Amino acid sequence: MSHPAGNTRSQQRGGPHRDGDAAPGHYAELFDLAPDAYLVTDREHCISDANRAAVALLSPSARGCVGMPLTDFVPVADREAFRRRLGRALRADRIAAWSLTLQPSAGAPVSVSASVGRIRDERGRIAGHRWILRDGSEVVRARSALAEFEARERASVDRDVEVRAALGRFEQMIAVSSDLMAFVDRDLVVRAANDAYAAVFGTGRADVIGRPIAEVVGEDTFQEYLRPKLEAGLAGRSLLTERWYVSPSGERLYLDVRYAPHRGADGSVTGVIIDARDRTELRRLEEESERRRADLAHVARLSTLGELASGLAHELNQPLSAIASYCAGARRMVLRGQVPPELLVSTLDSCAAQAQRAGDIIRRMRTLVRRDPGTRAPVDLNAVVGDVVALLDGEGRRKDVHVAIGATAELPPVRADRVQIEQVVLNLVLNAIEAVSEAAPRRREVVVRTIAPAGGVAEVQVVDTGPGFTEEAARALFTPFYTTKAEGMGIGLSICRSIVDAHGGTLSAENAPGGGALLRLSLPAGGGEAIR
Amino acid sequence: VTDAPPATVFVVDDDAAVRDSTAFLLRAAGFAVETYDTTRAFLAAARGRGGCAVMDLRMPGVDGLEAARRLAAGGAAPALILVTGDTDLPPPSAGVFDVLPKPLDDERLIVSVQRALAAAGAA
Repeated sequence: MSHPAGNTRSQQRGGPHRDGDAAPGHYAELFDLAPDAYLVTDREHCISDANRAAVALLSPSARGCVGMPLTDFVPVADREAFRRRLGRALRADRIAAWSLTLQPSAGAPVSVSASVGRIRDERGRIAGHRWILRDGSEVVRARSALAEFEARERASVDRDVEVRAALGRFEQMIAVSSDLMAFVDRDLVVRAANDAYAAVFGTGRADVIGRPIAEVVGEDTFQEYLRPKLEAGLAGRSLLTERWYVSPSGERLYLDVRYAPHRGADGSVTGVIIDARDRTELRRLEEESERRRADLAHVARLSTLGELASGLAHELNQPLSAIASYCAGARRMVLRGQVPPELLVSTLDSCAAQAQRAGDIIRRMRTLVRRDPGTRAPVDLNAVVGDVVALLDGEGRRKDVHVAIGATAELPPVRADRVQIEQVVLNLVLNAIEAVSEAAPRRREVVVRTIAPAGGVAEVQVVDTGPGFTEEAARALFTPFYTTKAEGMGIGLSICRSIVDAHGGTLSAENAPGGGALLRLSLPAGGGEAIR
Repeated sequence: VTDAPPATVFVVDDDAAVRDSTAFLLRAAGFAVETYDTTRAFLAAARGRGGCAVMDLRMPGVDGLEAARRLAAGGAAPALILVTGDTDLPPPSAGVFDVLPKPLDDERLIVSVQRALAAAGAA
C-alpha cells in the first residue's frame, strides 16, 4: 500500500460489504484494483473508503480523501444542486449515469459520470452509498461494469439463499416429521434432535441437545438396547431394530429404529443418526388383533374340551379305578396278615404310577383350558403329537379308533406358541377320529406322523382311514362355519388355519394315496438349537 | 371269601393298569384269575369254560355287549360282569350277569363275582 488511503481503508473494512460472511478478501481485491474510481460514503456523505483509482482522481496529493465530506470535492457553485440531488438519491435504490463535475484537491475540475448505489447495514437501514466514478466518455462501460458487479454479487447471494432454502426445507421436513430423529456424536452426546424425538425423551429440543444419550433415554435402556447399536453405528454399520421401549416419562412405545453411521467430508464416521418410527398405534392394533385371535382360539379350545369331556372323564377314571383296586386288594392282604413286603411295595409303586398318570391327564387338560401366554418359544412337534395323542386316548377308545404315532427323530424345532399349535394338532386328530368313527370302515385307524421334508420345515401329517374329502369339502374345510358334524360350530379348522397363518405355516387337506384324508400342518423350522 | 370256589375269573381290559389292579384285587380276595387284553383272546380262551369274566364294556374291536351276545350264542361260557366308567349303565341284557361302575367298589365286585361263579356252577 503506497498511499495513506489504503491503511485507513483496511481499518474500516466491512463497510462496502453486505454481510460479514461474504468473502471479504475477494471483494477487497476487486475494490482496490478496479480501474474505475470506487468510493464509499457514510450516512453523512463522508468518504469512508476509496480505492486507488478514486484516490488518484480526487486527491493526487498525498493527503488522501478518506474521512472528508464528498461535497468538499464538488465545486462550490455546484454544491447546492449536488445536495438536492443527493437527497433524491437517498430515496432511489440506484442512480446510474449522474453527470457531475468534481473538484480534486489539486488540479483542474473533472467531469465524471457517477453511478450511485445504496449500502444497507445488517438491519436493512441505509448505511451509506457506493460510488463508481468514471470519465464521462466511458459512461456505457461504467454502467455495464456496475451491472456486472451487482449481478455477480446478487447471483452469489441467490445461490446462498437457495442453499439456505434447501437446508431450510430439510430442516423443516425433519422438524415436522413424526419420526423421532436425532444425531449422536462419537462421545454419544445428542447433538441434534427433532421435536418428535425431544417430545418423547425430554421436554423440548433444548432439554435433549447437548446431553449424553444415556441420560436422555435412561441408563437402563441405553445399556440394554442402545449402546450396542450405537457402537455398531460408530463402527460404520447400519442397523434396524424394532421393539417396545419405555420412555423416561413411563410411556410405552413401539419403535422401529434405524441406526445409520453419519460420515464427515473425509468419510470418517462422526456419529450415528437415529431415525425411529413410532409404530406404537400399529403395534397396539396388531397386538389387539392377536389378542382377539388368542381369545377366539381359547374359546375354541374350551369348546373342544367340552366335546372331549366324556372321553377325558373315561380316561381319568382308568388310573383312579386302578388305584382303588390296588388299595382294596392290598387292604385285604394286610387284614389277612399274609403280605410279602415286596408285593406290597410293588403295589404301592403301581398306585403311585397311576396317580402320576392321572396327574398327566389333568396337566394336558389344563394346557388346553388355560389362556395361552402368547409367547413363542422353540417347540418340539413330536412332544406336541405325544401329548395330543395321549389326550385323545380316551376319545379314541370311546369311538373305537386306534390312534398311532409315527414320529421322526430328525425333526427340527419350530418357533411357536405351544398351546396354539397343540390346539391345531388336537383338532386335526380329533376330526380324523370322528371321520373314521362315522364312516365305520374295517380298519379304524388314525396315524399321526411327523416328518422333516427339505426346505426348512417341520410337518405333522394326520392320515385316517375315513372316507376322505370331496373336492368341494377339501376347499371349504378351513372356512368358518363349514361343518359336516351335527354338533360342531364349524369354527375349529378355520381357527386352526388362522393360528397356522400367524405362525407363517400352512395347513392343507388332501386325499391320502391309500384312501382316507391326509391333513398336513407345516411350520417353518426355527427356534435355535434342536430340542433333543 | 375263604370258601371261594376254585373257578377261574377272567379279567378282560385293554388298559394294563386296570387289568392288573383288578386281577390283584381278585387274587387278594382268593380267586384264581386269568387276564386278557383283547376280547378276541378272551373269547378264544373262555369258550367252553365256566367261571366268570370281569370285562370292560368299552373294548376296541369287539366291545363288552357284543362279547356277551357271542358268548350267549354258543354253549358253555363264563358269566359276564361288565365294568364301565360311563355314567349311563347299559340295561341288563342277554348274557350279561351284572354291570358295575368304575372305579370298582371291592365289596360289590367280590359279591358279584361270587354270585356269578355260583350261578355258573349251578348252570
